[in-house]
Amino acid sequence: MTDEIKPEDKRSYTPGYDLRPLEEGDVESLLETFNLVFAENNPDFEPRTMEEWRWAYRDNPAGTRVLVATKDGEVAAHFSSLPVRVWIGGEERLFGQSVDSFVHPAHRQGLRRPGLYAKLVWEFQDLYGGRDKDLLHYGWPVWNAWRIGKALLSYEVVRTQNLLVKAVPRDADQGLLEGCERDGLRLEFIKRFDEQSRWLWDRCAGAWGASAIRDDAFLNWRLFDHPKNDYTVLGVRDGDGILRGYVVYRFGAWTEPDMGLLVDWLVPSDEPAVAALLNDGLLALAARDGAATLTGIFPDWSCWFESFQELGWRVYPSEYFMIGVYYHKRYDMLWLRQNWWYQLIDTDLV
Amino acid sequence: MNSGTGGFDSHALPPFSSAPEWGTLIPVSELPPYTIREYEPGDEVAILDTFNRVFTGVDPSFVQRTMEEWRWCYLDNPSGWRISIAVTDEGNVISQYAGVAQRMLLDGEPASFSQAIDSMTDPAYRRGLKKPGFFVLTGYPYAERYGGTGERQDTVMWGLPVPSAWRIGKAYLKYELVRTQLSLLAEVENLLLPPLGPSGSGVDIEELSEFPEDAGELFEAHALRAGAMAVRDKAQLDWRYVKNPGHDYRIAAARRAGKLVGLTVQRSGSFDGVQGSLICDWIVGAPETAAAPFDFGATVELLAWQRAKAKEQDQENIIALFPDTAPEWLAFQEAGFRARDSSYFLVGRNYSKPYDMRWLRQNWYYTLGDTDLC
Repeated sequence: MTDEIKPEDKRSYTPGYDLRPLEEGDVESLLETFNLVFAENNPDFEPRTMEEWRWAYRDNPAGTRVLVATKDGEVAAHFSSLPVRVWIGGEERLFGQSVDSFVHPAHRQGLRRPGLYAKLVWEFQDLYGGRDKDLLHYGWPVWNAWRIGKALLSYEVVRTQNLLVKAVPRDADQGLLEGCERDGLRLEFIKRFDEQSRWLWDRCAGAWGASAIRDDAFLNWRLFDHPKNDYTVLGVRDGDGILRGYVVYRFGAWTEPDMGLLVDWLVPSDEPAVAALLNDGLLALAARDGAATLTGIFPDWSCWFESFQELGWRVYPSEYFMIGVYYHKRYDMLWLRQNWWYQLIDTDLV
Repeated sequence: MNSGTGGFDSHALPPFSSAPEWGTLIPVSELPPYTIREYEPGDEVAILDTFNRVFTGVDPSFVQRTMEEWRWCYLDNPSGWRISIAVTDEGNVISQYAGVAQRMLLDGEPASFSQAIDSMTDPAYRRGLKKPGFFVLTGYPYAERYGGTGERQDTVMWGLPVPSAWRIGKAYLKYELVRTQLSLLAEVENLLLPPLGPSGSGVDIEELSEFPEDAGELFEAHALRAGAMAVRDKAQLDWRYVKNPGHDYRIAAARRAGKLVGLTVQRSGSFDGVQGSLICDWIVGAPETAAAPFDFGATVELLAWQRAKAKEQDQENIIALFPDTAPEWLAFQEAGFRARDSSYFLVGRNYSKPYDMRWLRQNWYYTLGDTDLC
């Protein structure tokens, strides 16, 4: 006797295809198909390198979530998430950000609806999602993915996403970046995180129902080990050398070319002096790079959503909407909307 | 209208259509025989009786609705009414699914939307049927009858559901999210009205007791810019604000050289638990000679009038509701309003494919006065 469900009884049953977690030997075929699919109708697409793939999927300290559908030894479809360790309900659990999904063009018509894509996602959800497994799979889908997702894959909207945008003052004091001390606090560049990032996150996270754990393992992997993007991190330390807050900045393209991006902000809500110094440093970085604007996101319930508006940031609409598939009734979209702290760092968009 | 504080049934939306036929009798062993049908004259007594019992049961502070208020909300609305009820042979209303109709200009063409409100089921009958229950059973024929693009049908049905109604609605009734709704709030003392220059605005502000005949022209120009907007002609606006038996509103018109260039409506109240002066309606047209999205001078003068009303009524905050895609959203922020989280989220169901949730998010202009929240 076994509790295992027979393949033909599963909702993801797909005759002719093997749906399974990625194996080491699949990677070259996977990358080849990935680069073929994402180059479609996108002349600006830069092929993904093996280094980038390894960073995203093999080096992630939270683990690997990659499922493939293979046929005749080739990867025909791929669905994956970037898992992230999250503190929620008094314990450490996993969320996963769904990214990079595709079906090879030759395999898009091969099955009746629901097609290979939906069946692969069902297999993924059955394998990795659950009350005792990943609690949430989330993402910011393009419209077509959303339409399939809501019809077949239990996608639901957490929130329609607003952006906070600030025009960068030309006269921002770039001298701050040479070194600045104010009110016993010192602004400095951070080259690598250590255990103090977790201390800082511990101070902040009490106010949040759910949040990705910002410890050195996560932050160093996400920011400093990133094979493609350059991030700048400014930190504020007190006289004892204790990290009291940090901001992560990047100059690059997202909704516009050459924009300043507020990637992550971690400051306790009762540290206005730290916030002021980091905000000045952030504006100095953007001015240094010639960015016309800075853009970031905050949960609209957080104190920083209001504080940044007082600092001259304005709330803009966007085409983006955060969606998710939840696996625990307690943590549905309404709960997540009111309790989940996330920022641009929690996405693969910047 | 006071349907926002109830429990499960406060703001609801109709289900996907697949329904028992309109007017069929469905006897169930535990229940008295009942019929699900459209409202007929005379039903209002039983509807109101059930409504007041249901909502008093979930909210002890609930103020009983009067017949005058009920008639105003449904029968007197120039855009019409939408009511589906389950009624026993004795004439008792078991359940209701209802909506306030809105004549619309949709891509420049006449159309109709409706806001689902006042859905209710008598608690005595809630356990009489297995799922999906009366909420859905009255909603099926409602959707059949009123959802669509034909005469007296709604291209979009929408609402601001309480969480429990949302959970059931998305699970059984295909509700979809248009947007998570933010509000705009300015402390009266922090409202920053930009300078108008040496020649001033050229706009005259007049406080009115009823809406002018040329309100419809102003609305049409605004609606063409927006894509989708509920009709704001004299008949509709007078019904909504002047003849409303529940609230007193203040109305102001802005005219430039005699031409109506803006209208706004105000009353004191609370929104999402915050007391303030509510900007219930706001229509400011685009200038004829500039590419700006709205008349700057009229905007400044009408905001100054709103501020004066707030001070007059000892209100510390001014609160407004706009779609974040409207030009007013950013302009009001520049004037000192700040975007704030709210507990509301706008949901809808479209009966014409092009007008899906994304289209609505980008193109539908509405204010607090479109809802039953002010």
